[in-house]
Amino acid sequence: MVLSASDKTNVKGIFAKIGGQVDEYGAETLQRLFATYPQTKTYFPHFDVSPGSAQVKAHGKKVAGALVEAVNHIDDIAGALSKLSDLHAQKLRVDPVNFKLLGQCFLVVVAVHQAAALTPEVHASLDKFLCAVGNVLTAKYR
Amino acid sequence: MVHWTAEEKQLITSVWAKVNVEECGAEAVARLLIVYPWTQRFFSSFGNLSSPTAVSGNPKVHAHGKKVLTSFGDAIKNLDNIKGTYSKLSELHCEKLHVDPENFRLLGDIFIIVLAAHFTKDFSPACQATWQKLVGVVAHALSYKYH
Repeated sequence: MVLSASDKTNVKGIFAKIGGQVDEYGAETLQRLFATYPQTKTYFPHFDVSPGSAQVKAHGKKVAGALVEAVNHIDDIAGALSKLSDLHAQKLRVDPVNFKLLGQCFLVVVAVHQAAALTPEVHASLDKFLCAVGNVLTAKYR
Repeated sequence: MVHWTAEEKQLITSVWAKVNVEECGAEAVARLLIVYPWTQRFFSSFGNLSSPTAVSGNPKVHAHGKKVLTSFGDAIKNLDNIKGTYSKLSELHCEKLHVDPENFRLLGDIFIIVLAAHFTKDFSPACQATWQKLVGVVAHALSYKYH
């Protein structure tokens, strides 16, 4: 799966629209992840995962930041997220299925806040991008 | 049998009451074919699916979307027996249509996105969780009779 030139344009475009709100999107993504897929909470036993949690907000900001980094280096996502990829492989070892779940929740958040901008074409590009990020983060698992 | 809390049933029926079945169905199937183009393999008789615009404007896609989501309504009317409701449809999808059940999960996820875009802030995390559970149950029921 390869990101075409128009995929890259679509992804950059939607993230430009999201702008500075991306941190909130990250927090809401996690909130929806924990509500919809409770098994994902098993990776955060040390967290207060209740709605509005400061820890969830902070972690959402981290996740959002990584996505933005990937967008800013969309021609070399593997390079941009190399250290994060190492971290997930060696330390975090989040089962690969969960990246799809996170991607689904991020798409829902974008749909909620940017419905008009999430055309079918942009939806497709964003879904591909999120898959690509997940693939990079699990690339060194074995 | 799946257990639904009173809150879940409320979230399902209140959202469903506001869904335009024809529009949302068409949107969901169109997005399925656009976002996951390999799903087009089941629709070689649908004519022009060569671009997102072609897919979105295709009358057969539109009609099929309406059919699929109308059928979804049967699950909502029979929340306490979704497996029974879809028993024949499950056999059909296995024996005649030869659809990999993974496609039911893909369509379910797409439908959630369509609902989110339609209801925006009203599509709360609790709402999403309930509806994600429902589409999962429907997908499971549709694959239940596979052999």
